[in-house]
Amino acid sequence: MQMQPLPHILLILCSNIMLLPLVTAHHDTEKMIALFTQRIESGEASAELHYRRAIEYRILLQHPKAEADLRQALVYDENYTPAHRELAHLLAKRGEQKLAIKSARHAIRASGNLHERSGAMILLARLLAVAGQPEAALRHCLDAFELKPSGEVEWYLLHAELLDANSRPNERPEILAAGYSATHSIVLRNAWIDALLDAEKYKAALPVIHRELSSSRLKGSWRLRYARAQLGMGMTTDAGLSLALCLEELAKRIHPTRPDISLIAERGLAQALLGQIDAARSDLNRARAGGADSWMIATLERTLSDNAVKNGK
Amino acid sequence: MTIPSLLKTTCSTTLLALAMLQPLAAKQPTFSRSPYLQLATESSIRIVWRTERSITPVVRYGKDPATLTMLSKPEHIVTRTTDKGQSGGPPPLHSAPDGTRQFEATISGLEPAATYYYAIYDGEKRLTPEDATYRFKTHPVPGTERPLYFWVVGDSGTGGANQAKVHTAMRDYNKAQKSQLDLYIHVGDMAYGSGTDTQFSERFFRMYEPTLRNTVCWAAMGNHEGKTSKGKDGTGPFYDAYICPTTGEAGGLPSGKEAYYSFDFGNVHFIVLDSHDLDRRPGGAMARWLKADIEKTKAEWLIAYFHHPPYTKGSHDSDKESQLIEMREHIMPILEGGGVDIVFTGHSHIYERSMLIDGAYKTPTTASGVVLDDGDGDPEGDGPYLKSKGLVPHNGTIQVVAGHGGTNVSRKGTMPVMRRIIVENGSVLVSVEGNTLSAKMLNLNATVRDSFAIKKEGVIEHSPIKDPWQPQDKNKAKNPEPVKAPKKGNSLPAVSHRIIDHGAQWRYLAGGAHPPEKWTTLDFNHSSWQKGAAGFGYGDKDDRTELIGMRDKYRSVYIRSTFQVPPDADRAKIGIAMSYDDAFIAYINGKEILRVGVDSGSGKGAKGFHSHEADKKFEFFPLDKHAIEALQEGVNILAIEGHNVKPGSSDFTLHPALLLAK
Repeated sequence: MQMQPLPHILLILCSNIMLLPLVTAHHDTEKMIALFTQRIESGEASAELHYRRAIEYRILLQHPKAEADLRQALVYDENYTPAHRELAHLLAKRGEQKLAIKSARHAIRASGNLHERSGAMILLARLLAVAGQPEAALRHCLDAFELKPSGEVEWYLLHAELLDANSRPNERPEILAAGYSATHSIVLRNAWIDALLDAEKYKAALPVIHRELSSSRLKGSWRLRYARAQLGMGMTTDAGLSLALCLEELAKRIHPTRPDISLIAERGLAQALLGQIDAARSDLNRARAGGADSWMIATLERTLSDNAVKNGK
Repeated sequence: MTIPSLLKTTCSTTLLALAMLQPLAAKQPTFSRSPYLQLATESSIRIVWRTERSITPVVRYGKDPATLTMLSKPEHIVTRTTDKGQSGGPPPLHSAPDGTRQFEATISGLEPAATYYYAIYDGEKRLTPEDATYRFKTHPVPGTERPLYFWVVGDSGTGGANQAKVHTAMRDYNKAQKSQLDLYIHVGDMAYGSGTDTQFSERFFRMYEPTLRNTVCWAAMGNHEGKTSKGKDGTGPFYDAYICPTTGEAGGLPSGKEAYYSFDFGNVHFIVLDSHDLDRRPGGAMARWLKADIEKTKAEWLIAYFHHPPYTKGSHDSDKESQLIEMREHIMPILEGGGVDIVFTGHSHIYERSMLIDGAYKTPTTASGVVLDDGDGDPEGDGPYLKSKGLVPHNGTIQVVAGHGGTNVSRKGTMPVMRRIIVENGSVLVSVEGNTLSAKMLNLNATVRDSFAIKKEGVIEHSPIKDPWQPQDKNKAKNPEPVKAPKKGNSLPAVSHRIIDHGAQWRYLAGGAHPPEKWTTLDFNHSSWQKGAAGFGYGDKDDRTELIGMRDKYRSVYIRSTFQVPPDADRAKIGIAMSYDDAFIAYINGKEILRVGVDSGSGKGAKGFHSHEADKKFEFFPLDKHAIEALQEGVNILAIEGHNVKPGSSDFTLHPALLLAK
């Protein structure tokens, strides 16, 4: 076997030694924290090192330590954007919405490029929405699109949610259709169909629903959408059949003790549409307890609330 | 580690790596990244390579390596450079060395499941050697049944000796077996320490060059690549290296992002997720796409992979780390609710392989109520795991942590759902053929260290095993395969009432037949079964119902008897008295309440029998809390399956009674 000339080997050896911290830098999380701590304590402290240790603390769910490190990172560099962004996430998680919003605003100001800036704007929009400021949230979401017109899948979803929160639900289909066209994401296509159903544009939704019903293996969510269209068009008996089939499939898919909450939300909606109000409420509560996002249970909540109004409750 | 020892280790590691790389590195200096394959479909493929100077890129290809008559269309070759000042053209390379050109050629209009050979040219000048290993194979038409053979690697990207050995072991093994890979999946961490462009070139492309020239690597991003690449917008060296489907072009539904996607190979559907830097919640876009994709596929097999393992106690702990917990709590319910068969992950530097499990989403992970088959899954051992044909929700999943592809391996503890825990470098080879998926863990010496299989046939209904096999604690794990001692009964207590007497009449099914599902429930109609008095058996002259013809013919017998619990009985004093040879499983009202001498499975699928002599003695097994809860007012059913350790055994005894102790 022909070997490399000696100087070349020495060069590689030297570079390998230089790379040792990197080569060994794929240990477990606790060891990474120990490594960062050692470096911080030996006088290497910097915004980046504190930030990196904060990320490891966050992975271990040690949020107070993560927060302390993020704050320390900002002492070293008050414009260190990743630390502002991460701090905003942490603060929001423990319900400190105002402080989280402040951090997100810092992140926007400190952003070094358009990409970072648009991402920080979307973060701020989310935080404002949670804080009950949908108008401001929508404004910031649109600002982000100004900076990056192609957007991202999640941005279109957020935009649609914010339109709903600003009592402009009928504008959702157009935004989601544009997002689908720009990204090809099936999530946006499906959200577009849901938005069409919410806007009572059943005929526009039906071609896709029919196509998916004929080509999907598991049809529950499409049967549910079909039932919504059927009910909207006054086809109550057919809707009942669709919902029964949907529930039959969900019964096989929902784990008895540890279910996927998106399926629980679907079952709740199917039950609500069938008038099984107690069961639907129970699933709504279960989905909420499981951390379901607001979009996931919005239609179920609306259906139950409409039902309560109808029955004078 | 002291500096001299560190140097020694570094020197030896480097020299060994160099020595091993020499034959692999005999490549053309023309390429800064040698040609590799991407995004295969049934009718197209991408060929990607890099040079450090400008060339006129041409791909010639054909079915005969000696006559490459077809030419790529110039407009189908995209050239990417490091020039960030361009606008409107293909995206610039994120951080490649200045002057780098990356060529991405799309070859389309190909036949499905066909092998083609190719060569890269600079105008008329051939750059790749005349070598038939420069070839590619298109995928079969989605939905068709074709054999599939693939390689699974994780956490490999050190560029060191162990990574090279793992690669060589796979190549040697395949050469000996005369097998060729159809594809290669990498579960992340392929370019330590930060997934930079240079680290990708040296620790991934250079290392695996002979494999990558003819095998598509479909990758999931690891946390180390995540230091320089972003799943959110698909930028960075990882996304420069890979061309992942975003519009459903390789099967599956369009994700709109390269970070997560799916593809088909015949009737096998692969799902690839980004567990590192995207929203892992059920409401996140990735989970919403996953749910839609899984609902759509009509494949027979479903394989998912991503970097962070839902179950591990290797170098990481899935009970403590947020990404791992979230993948388990949020993503696994969607995958199992869609019928996933097997999940490959890495991140934790170890090989861990689970039993057949379902619903293990809680933190911390326990084996209680989640193990459907605790056998070893080895076709040569307990036999393959059985599942229903097709994709059936919650029918059982195997988890494989393959984070042992090259970096240092270690173990923190014991993950209770695991069947095999091996702290060695290696990789996994998987084949899917017809109704069977088989997998082998190959260590860096090309030794097979684990084998398991999943077989799909008819309808298989599993229920969780009450007291499943457990892996040995880390500190006692010198023997990797401990044997669980069968349960022993107590001596017979003083009896106040015989609920089912020793000589009572039972319904029984013998002769080699197995009962249908639900045979243990009260509603099951056993009127076609024979009647006989306990005990049942042959060969030891202690049986009222002699099972003539059982020896050498069959080894399992099923019996049922109804009973009522006396109204004033203290249920905690009820127990089964049993004289048995060799093993049995008892059920009350459809629930398994006692398992003695059977390691896993039940009925036809029962495995791991332990020998036991009846010796005309009875052992007493008091009902535990779980069994007492199964009792109901009025009529109950006690169903028992008895098993002989082997059909040729000299005797068999199954002689139960249900007693109320004083």
